[in-house]
Amino acid sequence: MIICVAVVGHQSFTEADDALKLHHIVHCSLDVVDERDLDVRDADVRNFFRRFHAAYVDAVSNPFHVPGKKITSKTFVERVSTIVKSFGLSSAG
Amino acid sequence: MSNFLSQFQAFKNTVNHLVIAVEDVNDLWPTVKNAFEARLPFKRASLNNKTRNSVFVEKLPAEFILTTDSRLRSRFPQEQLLSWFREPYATVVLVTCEDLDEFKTILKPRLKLIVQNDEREWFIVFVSKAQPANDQAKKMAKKVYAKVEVEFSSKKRERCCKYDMHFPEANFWEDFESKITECIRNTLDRRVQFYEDEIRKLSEQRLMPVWNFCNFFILKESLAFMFEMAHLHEDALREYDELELCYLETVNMSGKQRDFGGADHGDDQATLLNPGKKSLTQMVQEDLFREFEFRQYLFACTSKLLFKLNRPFEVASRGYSFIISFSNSLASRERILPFCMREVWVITACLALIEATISHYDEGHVVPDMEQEFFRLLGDLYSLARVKFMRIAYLVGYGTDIERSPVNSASLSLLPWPKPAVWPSVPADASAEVLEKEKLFLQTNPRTKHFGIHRKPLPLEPTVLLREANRRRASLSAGNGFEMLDSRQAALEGSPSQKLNVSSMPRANSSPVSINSSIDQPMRLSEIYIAAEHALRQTISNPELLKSLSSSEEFEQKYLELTKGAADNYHRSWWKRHGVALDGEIAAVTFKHGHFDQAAKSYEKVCALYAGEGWQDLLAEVLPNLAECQKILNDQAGYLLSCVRLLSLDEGLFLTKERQAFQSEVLRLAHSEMKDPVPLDVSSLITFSGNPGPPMELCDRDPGSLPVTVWSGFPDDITLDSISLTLTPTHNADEGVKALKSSTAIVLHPGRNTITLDLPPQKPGSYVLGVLTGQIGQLRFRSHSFSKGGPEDSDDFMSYERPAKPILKVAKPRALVDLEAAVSSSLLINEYQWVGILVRPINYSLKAAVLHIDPGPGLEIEDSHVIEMESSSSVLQNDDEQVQEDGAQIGSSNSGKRSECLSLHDGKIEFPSWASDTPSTLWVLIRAVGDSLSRGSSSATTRTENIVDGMRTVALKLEFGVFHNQIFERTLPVHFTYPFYVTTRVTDKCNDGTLLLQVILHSEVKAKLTIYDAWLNLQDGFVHTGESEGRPNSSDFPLVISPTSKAGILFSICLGMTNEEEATKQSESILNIRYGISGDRTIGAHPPLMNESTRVDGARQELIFRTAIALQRPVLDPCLAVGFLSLPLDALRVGKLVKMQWRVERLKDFDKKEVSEHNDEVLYEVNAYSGTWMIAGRKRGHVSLSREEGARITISILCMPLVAGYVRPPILGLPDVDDADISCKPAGPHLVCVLPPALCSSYCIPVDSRA
Repeated sequence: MIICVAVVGHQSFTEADDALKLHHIVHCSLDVVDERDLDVRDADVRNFFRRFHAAYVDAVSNPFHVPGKKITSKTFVERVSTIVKSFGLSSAG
Repeated sequence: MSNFLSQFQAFKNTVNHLVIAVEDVNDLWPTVKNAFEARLPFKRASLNNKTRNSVFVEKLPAEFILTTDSRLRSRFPQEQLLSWFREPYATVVLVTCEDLDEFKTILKPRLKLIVQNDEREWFIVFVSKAQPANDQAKKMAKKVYAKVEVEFSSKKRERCCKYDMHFPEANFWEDFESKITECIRNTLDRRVQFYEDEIRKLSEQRLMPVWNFCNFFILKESLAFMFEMAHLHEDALREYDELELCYLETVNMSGKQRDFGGADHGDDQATLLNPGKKSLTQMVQEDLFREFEFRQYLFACTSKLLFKLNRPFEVASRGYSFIISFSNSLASRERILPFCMREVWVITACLALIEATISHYDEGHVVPDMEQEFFRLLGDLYSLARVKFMRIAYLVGYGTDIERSPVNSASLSLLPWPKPAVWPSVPADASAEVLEKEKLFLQTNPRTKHFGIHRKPLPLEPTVLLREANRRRASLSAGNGFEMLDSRQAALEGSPSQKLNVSSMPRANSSPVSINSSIDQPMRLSEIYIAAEHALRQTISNPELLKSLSSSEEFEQKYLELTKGAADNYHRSWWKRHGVALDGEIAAVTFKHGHFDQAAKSYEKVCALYAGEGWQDLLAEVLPNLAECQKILNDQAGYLLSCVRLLSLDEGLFLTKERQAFQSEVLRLAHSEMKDPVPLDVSSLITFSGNPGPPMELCDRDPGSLPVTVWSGFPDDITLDSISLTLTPTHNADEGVKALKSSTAIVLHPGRNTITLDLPPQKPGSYVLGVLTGQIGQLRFRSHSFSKGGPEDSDDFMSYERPAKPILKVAKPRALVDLEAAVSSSLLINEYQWVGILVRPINYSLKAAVLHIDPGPGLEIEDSHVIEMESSSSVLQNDDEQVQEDGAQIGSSNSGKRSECLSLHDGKIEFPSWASDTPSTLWVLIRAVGDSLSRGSSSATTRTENIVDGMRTVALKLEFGVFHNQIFERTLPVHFTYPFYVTTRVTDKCNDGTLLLQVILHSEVKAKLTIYDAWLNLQDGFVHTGESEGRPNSSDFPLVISPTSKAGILFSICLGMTNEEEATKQSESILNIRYGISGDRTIGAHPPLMNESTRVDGARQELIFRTAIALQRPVLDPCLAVGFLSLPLDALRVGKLVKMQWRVERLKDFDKKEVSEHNDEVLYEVNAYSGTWMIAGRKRGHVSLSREEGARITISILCMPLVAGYVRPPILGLPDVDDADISCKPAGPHLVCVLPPALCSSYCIPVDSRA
């Protein structure tokens, strides 16, 4: 089960005024990662990251995307949520 | 419908256990009642669960009720469906009889009547009242019971048992319980079957209009309740789960607009654990239940069962999901619910759940993993309640009391505002409260952070409340559907328009003004707070919660309680980070109240977590708080460390001004009067490394200065009063670390600095940098960390992981310089000669080197004379290594061969600078003193050379290196010799007595010798012949002798008269040779240096060589020669005769000896050892030999060897003649080889080749 997915760039956190809260969220999410890591199969995670990376590459390949800035693509959000959902399904099985 | 429901609920409430009916035929119940009821609850009942699997139920409760009891009598048939679960599950028929006739006539028909109802599960207990002493009665009872058994029991099923009132049989109760259990099991099975059939029937109609959820619910819950009564909780739980699923489907499916519920007073308090809070009739609406109440009811029933199953963990886990999903339901109906109903409900639900699960939780009862998860859930519940509570508190104006921390911001800014249909407006009479609130606001000052750190506060709100509230009001006034839609959309997308600022707010004013002024006027913030407060008072029915919102102190207390609850539970679970982050929130509150030590402890934990995991941004937020606590607590060490840590954080995290403030704090403390100078670890701030490139290399025992790169993380220059850096040897851990110290103050600039440290001589090996320590004022700091290399050095990421490279390599002791004699051949003894010392530096500078020269015994240095030093390129060229490494140097030394005159002071010579790197030769003038006279020898004897005679040593000590720390000592052997070695022989003895004495001169030096003159001073008994006065022919001179060649000079002498006195005076002849030498000092012997005063230019340099020659007068003059004639080869064999022959020759006349009669005869004798030889013939006898000179004769003797081997041959002796007068020429052999006898064929045996 995936609870939170964060796409963290080099500067993307520092861009927003309230980036700290995002730091906090991602940091605390590590608790979940620590707790769950035993349950997750290696292959699943690999597959997840491969797909996730592909989605990311597609998103930043958009000519209108300014590298380093926040990704605003809705398609990207949708794809990520699809990936996240499918990950939950496959690992539950 | 509600009628049925109320009845159903009434039935449900009346019973909570199974009922067993007692048919008391003979009024026995009062007597057996106590005994029967003592068996309750049944200890172990075997029942079937819904899937017809056998289940053992422990402690099954039940109740015996007489059939005559009103509870069992007043049943109407139509109620049966609603109350079947409470009907008796077994019927016990109590009978007694002591007479067979009575049984037949009365009892039997009556029993038959009772048991004819097939639906009931029954069995007969025959009670025997017979006294134990009364055998007759016992016998009767037995007979009657037998009859009963015959009548009512069947093979399939035993329905009778006998109970002896006075002495119950041992197994009676077991039998009784098993029969009751069997009845209960059968009834239960039948009823489950019945309910299932009914439920199935109803389910099939689900899509029809006649479908009524309430009916379905009654059946389903009856079944569930029955299971619960039978303690089959798992089955009951499953029924409720199915019921919930079915309900949710029904609710979502039916398109009808139904009442959600939740509008009653008190509904804000969650009832998710209390099924009896509202009766079913209060929830029902038409054919369905209201969602708000019913879902809570179902969850309450479920949780009750779970608690009974002792699974509080599951309650918590199901409860959390329920709260979330229910909260979502509430959110979608927020417009019809009271203001903030959702938030309040969630708070109460969470708290109720926490309370209930903790009270049911037995510690250590479950596996550790489960326990951790349980606490995690509790943490989540607390955390959820906390967030909702903060949200409500913010709405009523306690936002200023909430720390704007990342934790709070993360939870609050992502949480949408409540969305009531209309934002509550200020009540008419609340203007005073508004004023007060405003006053309060003006008084509160935002807390400033320590170090003057200024940060934009983190948001606690998804959008600006002022705008949100006014917009919601405006949208109502305008009836602006679009606006509402828009806001919902925004909320759904989860991207609330945070960036809009307040100035864009007056948009609300532009909407059409219509209804009344109180609405159309935008509210001020204080008004919004007051309005919300009033609205919440309407919503919240829980006085405790209301109280928590009544003042900021009360708020804080509750806030702290929830935060602590969450933190504690997270700490007990795996989620340490959540726990620690919340600890930070607790710390903020304790800080506010001045409990700085507590706050510091908590902040330390938080900082440790963030620092440990490298979350610098978060650390930058908390660390100043910790520092402030430490400063207030006067914890200097802690405060300093915090300042250093602040300085070590990423530069971008703080402004330069702030970083300067950190530094000035460090300096202020360092130079203040600290009680105990604190050690401070600045590893993260001051890093160091060796210079890039290969490590510095030093020779053994050499000091040096080590450049070290130090990076300073301080924003300004900082002065280090002293600094010390340890060197750790990599090769040998036993060897302690050495510290390099610099006591002078060093100013470090921000960024990279290079400092140079003096390096005393180190042991050979390679060294890495260890620890940097130093002093700033009172502050002792140390840094362990090697610099990762500044970005200007490399952008190689891998370099971060490189192990510390050696900074210094001290070479193993090796030869740094070599001193040797330039010339290996001999020099002239007793003359001033140049000895060359070849100085060869081996990759090491000899700058300002000093050479001590100490001549050994028998050697003196002419120290008044200059010492020449010249570069020796020839040596350089021989040195291959040097040629390859430094060609340029060779070129320069080849082109200009330098030389310089030096002088000796106190036996020391200082080297000129040009000689520091190039090999050079030092020429020192010395003289070896040899007292002994050279001695010639006869050519017949071999020369015995004694090397030690001509050897002298020069002890050399070279001090070199930067501090003359390197010392090289060597003792050079130098050979000296006389120019000639003389041998003599008499080449001829002339008949006139003249002896020709040949003197052979061997040149001993590698130089050309020229002999100008030679004369011999003869010893007594010899005289010169002729007029030459002992000089050879003068035309032979000058005689030139090349190096290592020979020359001869003949002297003619003869024997003279012997004068005894003279003989003792002069026992040896002296040969005098006047010679000159021309040689090169680089090769060997050379012309000795003359004193300036005696030297004449152009004059040839003549030297005198004297040597002693011993001449001996001849003593022997043999007159007979005996020669052994050689034997034929292979002639000597044992047993074989051989002829030995000797030749005797007369050499000269016996002119001195007067032997008259035997003059022409010679006596001979053959001597042989008789064991080895057999002599055939005369051993001894006379042979005639003419007296003339040259007469010869041969003596032959037959001999036979007797033994094989090397044996002495027979010897011919002449007994009459003196040994001195016999010359053995050619001499006989000492030993001869005698072969073994030849093989005798008669003893020969043919040899088999294979043997």
